[in-house]
Amino acid sequence: MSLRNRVLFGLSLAAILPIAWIDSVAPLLLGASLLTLAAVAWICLFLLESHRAQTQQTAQELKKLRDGYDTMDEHAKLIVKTDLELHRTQTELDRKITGLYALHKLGTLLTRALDTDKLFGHITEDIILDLGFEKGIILMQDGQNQEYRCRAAFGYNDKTMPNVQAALTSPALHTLCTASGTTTIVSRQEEAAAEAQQIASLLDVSSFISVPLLIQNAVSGYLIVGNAAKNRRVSRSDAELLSVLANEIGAAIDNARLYEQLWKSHRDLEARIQERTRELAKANEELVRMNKMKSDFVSAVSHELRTPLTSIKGYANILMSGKLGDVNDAVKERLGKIDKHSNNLTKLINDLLDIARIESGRVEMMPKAIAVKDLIDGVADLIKPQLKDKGLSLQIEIAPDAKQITADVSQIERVFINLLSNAIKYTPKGGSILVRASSNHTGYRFDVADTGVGIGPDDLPKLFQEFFRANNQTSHEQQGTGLGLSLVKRIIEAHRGKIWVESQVNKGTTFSFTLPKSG
Amino acid sequence: MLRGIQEILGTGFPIAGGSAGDDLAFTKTYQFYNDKILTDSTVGALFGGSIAIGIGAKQGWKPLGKPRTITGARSNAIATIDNQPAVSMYESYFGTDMRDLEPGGIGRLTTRYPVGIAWHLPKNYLVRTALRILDDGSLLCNAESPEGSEIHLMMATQNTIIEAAREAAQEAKEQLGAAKTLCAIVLESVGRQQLLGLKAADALHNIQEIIGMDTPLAGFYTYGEQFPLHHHAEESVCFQNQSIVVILLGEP
Repeated sequence: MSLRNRVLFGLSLAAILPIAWIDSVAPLLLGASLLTLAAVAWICLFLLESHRAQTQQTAQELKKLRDGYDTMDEHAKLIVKTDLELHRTQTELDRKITGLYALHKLGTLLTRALDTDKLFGHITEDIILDLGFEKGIILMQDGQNQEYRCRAAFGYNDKTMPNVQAALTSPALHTLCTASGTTTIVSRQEEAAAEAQQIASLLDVSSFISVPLLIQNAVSGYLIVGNAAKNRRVSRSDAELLSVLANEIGAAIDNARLYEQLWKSHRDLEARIQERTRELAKANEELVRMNKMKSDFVSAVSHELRTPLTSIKGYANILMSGKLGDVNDAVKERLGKIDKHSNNLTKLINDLLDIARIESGRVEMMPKAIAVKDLIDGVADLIKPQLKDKGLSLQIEIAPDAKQITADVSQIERVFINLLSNAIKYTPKGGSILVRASSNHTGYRFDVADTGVGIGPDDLPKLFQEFFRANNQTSHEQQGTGLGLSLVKRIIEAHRGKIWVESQVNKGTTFSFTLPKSG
Repeated sequence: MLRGIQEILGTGFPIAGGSAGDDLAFTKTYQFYNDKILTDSTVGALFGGSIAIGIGAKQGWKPLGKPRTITGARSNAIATIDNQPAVSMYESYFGTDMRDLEPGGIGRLTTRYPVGIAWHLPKNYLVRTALRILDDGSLLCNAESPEGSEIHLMMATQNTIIEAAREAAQEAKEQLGAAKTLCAIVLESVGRQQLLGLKAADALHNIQEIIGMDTPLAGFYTYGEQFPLHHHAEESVCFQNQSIVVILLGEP
């Protein structure tokens, strides 16, 4: 079969088949198609329904999500609110800590300040800033009418200071702060009183606190601090901090004033002492001058006395020698007394002259080296007869290291003779006298000790005074001028030595003196 | 302005800096330039020669509440958020009419609660504070915020921002590599100082622990920080508020 025939066959079959299909299979097929259509429709419906449910679910989920977000935002609002509160507390706390720290620092400085100027010097702009304020003024009562004056101002310059002065003299300030005598907080808000507006404007602040400064429980000044920035409005807790500061300043001023008073009275006392010292020095000078006058007088009088005395003695001797004719025994005896008393008087005058000369420095010591042993032996030889007369024993002890001194030999001999003569005079028969010489690193020491009548404790201090004579039986019996020990003291002092005496009544007396090594 | 500087210096040149402040009064700022005192100006110093530089910038703020979208922005102002005037976002959180605030009030508030613009999610946010509320309720910031960006209210704790100081120092130190650290310049937002209070020194202490206690350190509190952002191998200069920038100069 050709291709053409095959196509024709196919076509004719296709034409027959539908007729056959309609006749026999059609009802069957129709049922099946209807079924299929229903299935498709059902599937479509099913799909549509499930899509709708899904959309609804998504919408629900979206809603849930949105709700979640909204809840989250509500939480956020809570967090923000808590955080704001926390931050406010934290800021307040920080400010308080900074303020307290500044206060502590200032307090330490203030308690150490001893005068009010220094005290106010410690309150600086930095401290005011640390306390949390931009501006500060210290008002203090001043003068007789107790007006408030500006003691210190911080945070102002030459341009703004006149405004501050204007504020301080304004009656509005008085109405607002100083009249009350208590802490005042002023805020420059629209609803604030006209006085508050005016003062705040002059002080260039949006709010300020004024705290009284109490000195001895009386209002003596005000501390005013404030801030210009509106976000740093002063608060109640600032006022509390400031009250503490005001108390400290008040106490410090109290202290400083007390100290100033104390210091002033101390200074007055010192000035008075100095004045008295000056007066005393002047009186002393006067005494020295008078003493010199006395010495000059004694010296002049002695010279004047010596000349006629020599004549008296001379003439008495001539008369006694019998050259001018015989003299009977009674006359001779009287002449002998004249001679003896003249001798005493001469000795007295010589001693007086020596004292005056040594005192005025007219006699110069002529130091010379001499062996201690030689010196003492020489003196012992001189007084041997007197010792013998009274039956007294003399003992000499010279320490090995007391070998040689440098001194005016004749004057030191005079010292020894005077001390030994006194010892002999006041030691009863059978007594003993000891002369001792010793040495240490600074100088030599000599002691003249006796076993005599001794000197009463009342008389001891006066012993070296001129014309003093101890008040005892022996001294009344013994002759003496009362110048010997005075002369001895002057000689020792002229040698830069010291002399002193120790004595016990009826036991004995020891005179001791030192001579320095350098001579 | 930053783009202008970058056009002249080239995109590979790192730029960092800080905006002058006025102790939170939000009225006027001043700049020193040699012997002059300027206002509304930019003063710059160019570092050149044989030095190594490391710059780290971190902020430490966390997003709070639901994400919103910037639906309108003009230049430096965020006009609408979720089709509402931008300020209404703050009003919804703080419950007060922001237009009643004193001058500078919104500045101080947004210093504590800035906005964060999502940037290379999931982790990065650029922080912005608002200077002023414009009449139509837009928030005027120091820098632009692209329309369509996700925006959040941001919050921080003392710990998160103290930690940010350490991270910034670490980032800068890593950039220096083996170079010896000579000195550090720290530009820290005044907002951080506000939040930290007496703990402000802790942040500096954290930096010193990284760079060495003896390394000289200087800087100032800023109203905004400029820093380089590395992105797709390109360096662009970025602006944000409330952050800390640590610039380390080293000897290579």
